[in-house]
Amino acid sequence: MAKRQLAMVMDLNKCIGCQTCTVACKTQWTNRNGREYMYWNNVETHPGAGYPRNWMEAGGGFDDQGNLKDGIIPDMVMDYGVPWDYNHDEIFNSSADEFVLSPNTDPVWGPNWDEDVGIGDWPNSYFFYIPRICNHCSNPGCLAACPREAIFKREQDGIVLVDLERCQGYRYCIAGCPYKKIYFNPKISKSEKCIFCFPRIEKGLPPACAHQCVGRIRFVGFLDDEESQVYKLVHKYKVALPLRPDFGTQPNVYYVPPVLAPPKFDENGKPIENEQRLPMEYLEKLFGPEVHQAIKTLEEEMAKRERGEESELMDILIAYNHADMFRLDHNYYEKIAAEQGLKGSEYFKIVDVRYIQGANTKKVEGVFGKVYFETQPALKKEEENKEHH
Amino acid sequence: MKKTLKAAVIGVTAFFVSANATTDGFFKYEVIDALQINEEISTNPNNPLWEKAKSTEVTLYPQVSVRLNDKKANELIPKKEAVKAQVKAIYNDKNIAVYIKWKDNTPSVQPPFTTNQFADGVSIEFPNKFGKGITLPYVGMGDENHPVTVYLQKNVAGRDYQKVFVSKGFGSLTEVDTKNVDIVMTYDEKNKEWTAVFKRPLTDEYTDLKAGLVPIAFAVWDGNQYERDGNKSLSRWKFIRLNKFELDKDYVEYVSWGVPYVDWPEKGEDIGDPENGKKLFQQNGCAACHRAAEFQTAPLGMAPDLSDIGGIANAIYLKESIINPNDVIIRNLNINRHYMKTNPDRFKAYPNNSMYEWYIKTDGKKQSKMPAFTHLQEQDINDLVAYLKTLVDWKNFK
Repeated sequence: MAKRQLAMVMDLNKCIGCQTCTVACKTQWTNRNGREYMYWNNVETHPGAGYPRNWMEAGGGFDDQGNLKDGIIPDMVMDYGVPWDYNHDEIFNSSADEFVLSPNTDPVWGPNWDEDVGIGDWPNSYFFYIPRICNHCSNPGCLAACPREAIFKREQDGIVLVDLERCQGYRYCIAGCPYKKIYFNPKISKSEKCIFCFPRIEKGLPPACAHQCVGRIRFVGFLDDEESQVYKLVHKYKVALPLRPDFGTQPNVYYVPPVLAPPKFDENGKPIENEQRLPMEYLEKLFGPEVHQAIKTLEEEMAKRERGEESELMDILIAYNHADMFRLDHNYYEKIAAEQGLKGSEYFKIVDVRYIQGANTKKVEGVFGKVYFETQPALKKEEENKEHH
Repeated sequence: MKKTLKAAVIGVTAFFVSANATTDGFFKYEVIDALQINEEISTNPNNPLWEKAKSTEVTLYPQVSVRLNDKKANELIPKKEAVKAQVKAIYNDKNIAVYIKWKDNTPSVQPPFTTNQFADGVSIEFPNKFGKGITLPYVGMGDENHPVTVYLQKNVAGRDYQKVFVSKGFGSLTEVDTKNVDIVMTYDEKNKEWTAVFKRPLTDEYTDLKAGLVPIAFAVWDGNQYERDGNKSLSRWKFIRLNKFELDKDYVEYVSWGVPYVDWPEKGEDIGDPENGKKLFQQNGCAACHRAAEFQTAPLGMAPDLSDIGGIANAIYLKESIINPNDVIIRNLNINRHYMKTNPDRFKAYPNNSMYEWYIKTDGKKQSKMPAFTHLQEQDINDLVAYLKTLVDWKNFK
């Protein structure tokens, strides 16, 4: 069990679904070396099947008794979606009439396949966005499922990481995670996941997804730090709730539920008073029964502001400046590193070199003559060693 | 001079052993006669040398002692068939090679760009220490008192996936150097059969196989049935007979105790009465923690499931487990799989449920939670073992 716990709060009322977080994460961590299909951060439209497709029905997590439940491993093509390219070269380098823009594979799913689809009929159709990262759970399903005990939760901040030396690619973690936020890297045959940008965190910077967020919806801090905005949102005002708490893993990413939905219209196109377009049952399914009180609090505090009164909660959610939204502690990590006798680049000790390998490494061909991945340096070394024998 | 003397000694030992009725079956069905040669050993399974080596049939049973959490894989387990493998061995002055051939209608390669497809694979293991006075390890990759060396070959696209591990039970595999080890695995499309040959030095850093009787166990993985890791089929400890080295009669007596086994074509006299053994199983409360056959009420994961223990455990191992459970303490499957829904910490983390731990620690020493049933009469223990030996049914696996 962790001594401290980092947490993230995302205010769903302000998420505009721009995917800047997704891109920030992808360019930082997952655009290379077998991670191309992975989205450690994705933004999905709800109601919807999400990414991977129907992850909420894919099992994992714990039952009422606290026992790990069985789960399935999503399929690359059907559930995650194979990354594809377009024939830009053909179109731009030859007479445009000869070619139409087309993908180089026939995709059937992708990370934003059902984006903005939502549910319901006009004019009462609705949807909202949920950005998702690893929840760095207090009782992680992935960690529990690993027969190798290769997944660990850092004592200093509760970040959940895979020890790539121990991982043998058995993939029980993927079945065990009810959020399907741990992925199999087929190139190296090991599991990988969101690392909460811990090399940034240790330098006092928030994760890339949070830092880049255009809508300023994300708050990052320690849950035991009563001065932090995450503490206030989660514990003081209780307006930030975990996603699918019924999965039993005690997530540490919290969401301020959407209350700012447009009104519901009657047959004549007139707004119906006191009617929510987003059904409360759906919000309750996602965020648990506490969602009622959370929404009540949010509405009360909004009303205060409308009357011109003070509201600390509203001030927090307006997200005036990053310094308050992200309360990290560079000195705290410096102290831990000093205690362990680590210096400088040794901070990266736990991170496999694969994480910091540059994006410009040479491309290699896959077994069927297709270019899949960039060279994986550790593997190359392995092959070299074999040749020596 | 010396050589002749040694040969004579072996002759005497062999005579002694064959004079014993129970060991006859043991040597016939549990022992792989290794062929001694002078030339280099070929890892090519089609090399004519392998035709000269005697073949022994080994049965591998689905692993159901511990239950993993892959829904699709678990759904397939009750429908699985035991795997029949043909096993041979050859040795010379320096090396030993083990050949294994088994039927698999669906050759599976782990492809380079999928998430949910698995490789066919095969492995063999040797106890790091064995011989007179040394008890057999737990067959599922050893235990803390009995490290084993495991050789693994998987069929992964784009690379030759060969690994050697030293292991002390589930989750404890440590990769070691593969130099001096050669493994070849080939598929015969016509006969729908895999053949693998493992070649290693007779003696290495971890094990010395220069002995008359060398314990060995086998495992195979069928990628098509989502098999990997503990989700596999495995044999009980079998034994390779190296004629060049002396046969220790005490060790033969020890490892052959309690034969016959359920998969022998001819059985003969058993050590006890399985009917009475079943009664004793009930009377002694075994089913409170263990699942087996019709006894399915123990909580999942409370203790090893014994449903096919008669196929994968040696009789002497079963006896030792009953009277001296502390000798082979099996490492728990990840204890975080079960938590207690009380006393969460300030970050809402629930503590592990110690009910599911298989051992307790006193003064840093592990002690099995299973009590030693030393109070039982010798015949009762034999009856219990006779009953456990009949358990080869995994159709109730849930």
